Amino acid sequence: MTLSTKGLTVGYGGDDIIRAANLTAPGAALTALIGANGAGKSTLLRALAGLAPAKGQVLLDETDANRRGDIAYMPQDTSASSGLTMLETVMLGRLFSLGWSTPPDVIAAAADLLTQFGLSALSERPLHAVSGGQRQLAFLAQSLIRAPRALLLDEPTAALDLRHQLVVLETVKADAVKRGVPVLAAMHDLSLVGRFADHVICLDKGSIVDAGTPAEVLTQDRIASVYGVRADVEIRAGRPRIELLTAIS
Amino acid sequence: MASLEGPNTLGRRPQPGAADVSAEYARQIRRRTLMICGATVTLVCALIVDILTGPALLSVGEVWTALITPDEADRRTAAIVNAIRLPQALMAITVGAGLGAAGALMQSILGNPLASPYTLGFSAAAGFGAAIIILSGLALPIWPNMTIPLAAFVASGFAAAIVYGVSRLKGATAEVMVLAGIATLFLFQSLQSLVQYLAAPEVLQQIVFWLFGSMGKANWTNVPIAAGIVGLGGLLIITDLRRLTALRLGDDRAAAVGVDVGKLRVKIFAVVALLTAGSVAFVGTIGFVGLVAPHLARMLVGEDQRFLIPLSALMGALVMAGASVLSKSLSPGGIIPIGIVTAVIGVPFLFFLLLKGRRRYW
Repeated sequence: MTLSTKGLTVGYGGDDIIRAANLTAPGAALTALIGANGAGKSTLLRALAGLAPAKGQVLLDETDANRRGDIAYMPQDTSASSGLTMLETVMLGRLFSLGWSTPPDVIAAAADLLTQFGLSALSERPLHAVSGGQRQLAFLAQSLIRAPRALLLDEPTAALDLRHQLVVLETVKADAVKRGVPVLAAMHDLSLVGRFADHVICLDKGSIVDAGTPAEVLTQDRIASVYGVRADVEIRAGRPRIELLTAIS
Repeated sequence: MASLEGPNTLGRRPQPGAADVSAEYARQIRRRTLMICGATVTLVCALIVDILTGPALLSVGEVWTALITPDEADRRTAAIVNAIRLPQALMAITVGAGLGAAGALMQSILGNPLASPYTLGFSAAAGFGAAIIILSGLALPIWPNMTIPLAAFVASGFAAAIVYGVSRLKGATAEVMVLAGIATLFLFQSLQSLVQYLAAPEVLQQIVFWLFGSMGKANWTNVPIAAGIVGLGGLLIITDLRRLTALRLGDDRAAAVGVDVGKLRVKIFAVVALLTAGSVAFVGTIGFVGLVAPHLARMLVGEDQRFLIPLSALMGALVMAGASVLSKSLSPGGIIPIGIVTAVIGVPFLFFLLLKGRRRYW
């Protein structure tokens, strides 16, 4: 399963935020979407999920995707004032399977995911009573419970501590490989991109300026031009190790 | 696949398994169902106490006979029970249910614990509609007693149309709805004040009494209409409760799981307008029930709207039944307008909710 776009243009009120984007996120792989703040990463993901007005095509294996049905999207914001419990939150990922009563298979699948994420003791805890990282994991479980044909994640590790960052990315990659689906994740931490991503798409001011393997995209010049940061990049075992040095004034 | 099981995950306690999580959820569902059943039984008891209470000091036996075998009861007693107390008690729980459900729906679609059926000005508009008819002395040629309720209902619907029209232009977001609603609230409150300013003293007295909110206006004509409107409102939203639950995660997350947020918000908004207008048109302005009842219900059953909305309706009905009993008990031989009682007990209760609490419910 491959997620791709042809001439995807996204804009609000006449201004194009994303211009004629042609991207490809292959199946069974994690594709990182990188770029500075305001580059259009979140807008692009929202458009792919059918939540932002867009022109152009979004394809899954060369056929038009049912963006609301086929593609799961996890927004960036982890704040929540909701009193919904962790388990209820995960189950809502299968909203359209939920009638008046909740099917036992949905309860079991949500319970499995929470257990797998080490959150089973918090299953009846309201979202506002857990940490941002634990909420993020519940939202990730909400996306995974849908068994989507493509998964879009907006900064999935932003609110997480080091251990949870690794666990989330390992879990996401394992799910992608197991089900053969593409995962496209907007990411800021280039060290994590270098370590986990199979492909990288670099966005700058609404346009895709580079795409390829992490070693191909995460070069000193690219990091300097996109982020305005000087960095040391060393390739070890085919993967870039990045040390950020100074901001370029 | 990776797992978080490890020495530093969530302390040292062993994690429950997936089967334990499912069993705990089943227990929670049973507990919430029991809460609904318990509230229903309590409401029936409150309804009975309400019917037993009144300035006429009737005994339980007299009320029972008047209710069950009115032909065998004293004519005066039968009239008091069947023509006054029963419709008033039924109207109190109908209005309470409508306002309680409307308050919970409003809090859910606006994502705001301070929202109530009055936030968007529907009630102020109803008051204006009623006030202008009382001032003008106009009456429908065929059903004159329904003139004021109809005007209140129409004015309330007009306020809803204003808020809807303005907010639709900006995508029906919660923020735009609240702003448009508050502006509409101030507009109709000012118009109400203008009508009161223009009214002669005896007319002003009538307007003020209407605005207090009183079950004295309940009768066998308007109780079925109010109950029908509240029942219709409930039927209209019954299939939306899951989507409404998802909306409690915020607009973006609800949209991400497949909710058409704008469409849902507009539909629920229309139902809130219907419930509020249907409730206040016949009895006048009743404050705080729509704010307090959803918070009470949320404490008991959480945010799952399948349980929250029905329990908010039951809590609203229960609060109104309690307020009705109090309104008849506080002043021996007389009845204080129930709208005053709900506000007087509602404000301290809201303070209690705000100040209490190791647990957050919102």
